[in-house]
Amino acid sequence: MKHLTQDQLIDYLHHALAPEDDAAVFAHLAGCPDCQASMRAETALTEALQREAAAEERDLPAGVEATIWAGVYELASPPSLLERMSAWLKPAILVPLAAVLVLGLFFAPQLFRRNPPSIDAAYYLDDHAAVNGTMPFGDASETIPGSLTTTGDPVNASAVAVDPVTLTADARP
Amino acid sequence: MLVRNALVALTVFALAGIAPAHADDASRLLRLAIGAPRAVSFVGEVQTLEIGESQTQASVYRIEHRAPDLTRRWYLAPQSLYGDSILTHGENRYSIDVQRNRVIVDENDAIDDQVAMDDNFGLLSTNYRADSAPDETVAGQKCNVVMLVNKHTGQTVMRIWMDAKTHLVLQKERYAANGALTSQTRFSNLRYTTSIPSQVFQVPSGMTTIKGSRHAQPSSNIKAAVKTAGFNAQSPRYLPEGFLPVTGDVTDVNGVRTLHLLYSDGIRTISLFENARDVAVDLSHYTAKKIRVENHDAQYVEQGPITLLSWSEAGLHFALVGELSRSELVKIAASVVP
Repeated sequence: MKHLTQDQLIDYLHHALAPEDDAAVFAHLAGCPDCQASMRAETALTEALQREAAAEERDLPAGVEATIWAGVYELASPPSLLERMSAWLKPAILVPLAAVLVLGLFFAPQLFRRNPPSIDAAYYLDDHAAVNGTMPFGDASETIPGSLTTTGDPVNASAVAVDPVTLTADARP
Repeated sequence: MLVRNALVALTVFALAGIAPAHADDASRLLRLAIGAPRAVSFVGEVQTLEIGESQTQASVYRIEHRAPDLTRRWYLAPQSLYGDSILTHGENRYSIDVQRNRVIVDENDAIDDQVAMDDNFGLLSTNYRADSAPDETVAGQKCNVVMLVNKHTGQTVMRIWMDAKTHLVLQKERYAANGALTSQTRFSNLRYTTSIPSQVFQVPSGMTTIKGSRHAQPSSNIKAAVKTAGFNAQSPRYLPEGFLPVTGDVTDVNGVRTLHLLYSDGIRTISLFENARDVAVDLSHYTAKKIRVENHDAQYVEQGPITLLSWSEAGLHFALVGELSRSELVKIAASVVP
């Protein structure tokens, strides 16, 4: 076998050879004192480079570190209003939200609408019958009174005095 | 010759005297009939029929009346009212509802308004001619019969059977413009007596008393009533011939100021109610039907011959009540232009 090349020795030292190549190099080294010497020289060089590299390690420049920490803080702080609003505009959120709003606007008036005030028709019919009693042959007893037929409470009706100041002699048409 | 002279004499006699004398007599009978309940006491049974364009109401009640102003009507029919009664003490009315164990007390100051009654009789005399008809018997009593004929249309609007002795009205019928019967009130039996136990007229104890409506004595001053209402009230520009505004009154109904204008021709009446608050008529207890009045929607309900028509326009709510035909009421409603 020819002697090992320097590339083969470097790859062997860095465990970068394929398993069969690694086995062949190992077998060759065992029986070749020249390659063993080259191997020792290469090993010494690699260790020297590693020591030199370790000795030259330096802290990161202060600006770089500050920039990194500023980025971390920025990620941890709450987003601005604009950012939050823009987040709501994402279709995945915006579409369902719009649907809920539309349905809410449609049904809310019906859910919260108060029944408009009203006066039972029985009151009008009874009041008509009552005043009809002043007619010569008008008789409230002809009609069945709403006070007996209505199931609810009677309306709260109280007469308002017609302003006597405005009474005039020509009032009757 | 004798026969011919006799015929001429009869004709002259009839033209000169009999017909007017007959009318005067009928008018006198009407006046006596109006005052009769204040003079005679009686017990009896009365049947009523109220016939509308699409529905009819009937009732039967026993009546006990002690002159001048104590009356109790005990309902025997319809079945839903059986046992209930109406007790009237002058201007107070007690609706005794046995099924709900309650008494509703209403006050009607208008009932004893003799001045209004006289005025309204004058209105009746202006618009109606009283014609006598042959006597008949009702509830075993001989009755004088008077027909009230509308002077404008020539139609008989009412026929009244009055006891020939007491002048109490024992039967009364009303007719629509086409002559159809719209209501009938008739004694089926009658006994005059003054010995009616006082307990009959007592309000039963142990029932819940509920304050009902208080109907004020209406004012004949329509302008004053309208002014008291405090809003821009409207009145119809069309009324059937002979109808005039008679009274106006103002009532706070459930806190809503309501103006009530009454129009009449002496027999038939129309009530126009209006308010300026957004308070409509609750027709939920009735079978309401839709109808058009001019360019807006309206609803109406019928209770026998009485029709209630309600609509809203220009911020005002109206209810028109009367025993006229529905088409006539719609015509009146259309003439109320805010």
